[in-house]
Amino acid sequence: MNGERLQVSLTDAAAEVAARVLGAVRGAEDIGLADYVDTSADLKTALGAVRLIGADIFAPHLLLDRPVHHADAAVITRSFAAFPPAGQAGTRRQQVVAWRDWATGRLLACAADPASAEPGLAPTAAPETATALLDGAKTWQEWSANAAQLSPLALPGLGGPIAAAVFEGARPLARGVTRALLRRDFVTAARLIRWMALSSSSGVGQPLDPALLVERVRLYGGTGSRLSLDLAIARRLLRSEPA
Amino acid sequence: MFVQHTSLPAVAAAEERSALEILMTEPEAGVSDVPRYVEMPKALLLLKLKLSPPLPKEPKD
Amino acid sequence: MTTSLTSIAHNVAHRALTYLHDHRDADVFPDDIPIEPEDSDTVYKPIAEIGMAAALVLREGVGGTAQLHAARELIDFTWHRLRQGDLLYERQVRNCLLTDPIEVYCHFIHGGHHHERFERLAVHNAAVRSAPEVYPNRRLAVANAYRTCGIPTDDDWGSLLRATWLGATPPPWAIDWDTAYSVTHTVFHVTDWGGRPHDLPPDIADYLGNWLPVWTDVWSEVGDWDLVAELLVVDACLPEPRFDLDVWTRIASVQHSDGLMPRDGAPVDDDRVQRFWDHHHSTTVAAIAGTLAVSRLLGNGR
Repeated sequence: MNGERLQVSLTDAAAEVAARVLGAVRGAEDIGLADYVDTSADLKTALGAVRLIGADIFAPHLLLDRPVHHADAAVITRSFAAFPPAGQAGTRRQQVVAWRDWATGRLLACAADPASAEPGLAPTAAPETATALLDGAKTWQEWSANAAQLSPLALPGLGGPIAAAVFEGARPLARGVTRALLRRDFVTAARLIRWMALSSSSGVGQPLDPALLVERVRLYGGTGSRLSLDLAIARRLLRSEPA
Repeated sequence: MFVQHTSLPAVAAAEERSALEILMTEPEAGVSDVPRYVEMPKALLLLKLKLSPPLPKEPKD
Repeated sequence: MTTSLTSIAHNVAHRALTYLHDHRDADVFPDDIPIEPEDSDTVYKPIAEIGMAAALVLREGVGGTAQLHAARELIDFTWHRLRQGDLLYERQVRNCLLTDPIEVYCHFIHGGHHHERFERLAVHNAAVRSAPEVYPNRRLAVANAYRTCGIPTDDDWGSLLRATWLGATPPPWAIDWDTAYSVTHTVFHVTDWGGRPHDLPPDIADYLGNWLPVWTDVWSEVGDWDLVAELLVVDACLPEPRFDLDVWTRIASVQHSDGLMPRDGAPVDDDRVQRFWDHHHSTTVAAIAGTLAVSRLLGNGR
């Protein structure tokens, strides 16, 4: 398989995983992650999709206090075994990936029964890069592009230096959302709106109304299960907004 | 009780890992669809066309 | 950075003005200008806009000898094309509610041009207070024209501004192309083309400080240079302009060697007259943007 075909297979599988997580965020009992992976015709691609969706898998747990099933946690551990994290985060892209892996690993360690997770497979240490991706010296365009790629970290209870840096960047975040919406890039918009919803629910004032933005993307053409998942997470976060 | 695979699949090849890394760092849309100048008369004409009832089909021989 | 930006903005303005100056001939402009309202956009509007750009160059006085000389000749040329104001007078006498005559006339004052009979009409019209119903940003244009002419009106600037799209500070992502132009013109008139930047209320100035960079960014990306040039004029009208070196560098790089500023990314016609009619507006706006940016960078008279 060439690179492009691999990406298409992974994207399709990730849409399926996202749809299952989305169902749970909307109130379904289980994600059924292990069921999905174990019945998949292409196990490796299914595990790659789990790696790609990563921390989002914990959204029902973090937002609705749903339990993380042992089997689902084990699948995440297996996904790290099949797609091991890169040893070092030299490039910007590797730094983004490292932070996403950090989030998945951290949530796995916190939420899952340690007995079911095979130790040593999931990364537990924070990447070295700290907040280089979101420092104040970046242009708002670079800053918001990085924030969009780091959107799986926009989950309540995860914390860490990335979320702290996003909370400091209300203006570049709002500019990035505005840019994405004007370009009709709803996927990027939804990722940034999710950060805005998390910031807002954490009491950080925002220059734009995240609830209006969620509605805008929903009504004006945002499609796909991954985008819908970003919006559903944002909506859940806004419901828990402090008075 | 859920039965779990005990065997792990082979570790993904470099190409597969690279594909995953690209997808984990998906950039914004490459092409902008920002609002541009719209010639209103043309737009209205289009609207009229869409609102018009469908033309009757020619009867078959 | 300030020095290089000043030099870029100066060059954009100088080249644009030179282009307009080089095209003030009979090949480009027919001998008579229609004075009936239905023909207003063909030759009358460009003549008025070029006269206004020249007037702003003269008003700011930051252009250097050659540029001021070109501006002087351009304002005289356009005033001549308006038949020393007779055209404005006749338009007004025949159509008493038209507002464009005063909007055009007010700029020529900066070039020392006056038309006594027209001014008497304008004073009378202001006293009658029969303003036609127009877009809120257009209403501001009329208010600014009377203000520039020194003709008193009872305009309430605050409520006129709040009636515009910008005055309501809607979400910046809920804007379209036409409305972006409405925003630019609201700022032009409230600040009298950068002459009164502090007349913008602080909340509007903050709003523009936040979102103008995004609008400039997204319309630069698609090469909508006419609108980008207008947004650069807006920046130069703010209490604290941003002077985005990146955007200025980009727009300077698309300006043609003869000074033409393309309105967008489409190919530019080779025919001299056609080129002018396609791109005179963006070139005029570029001359204004560069002039006002240089003036504000030099901290002129604010």
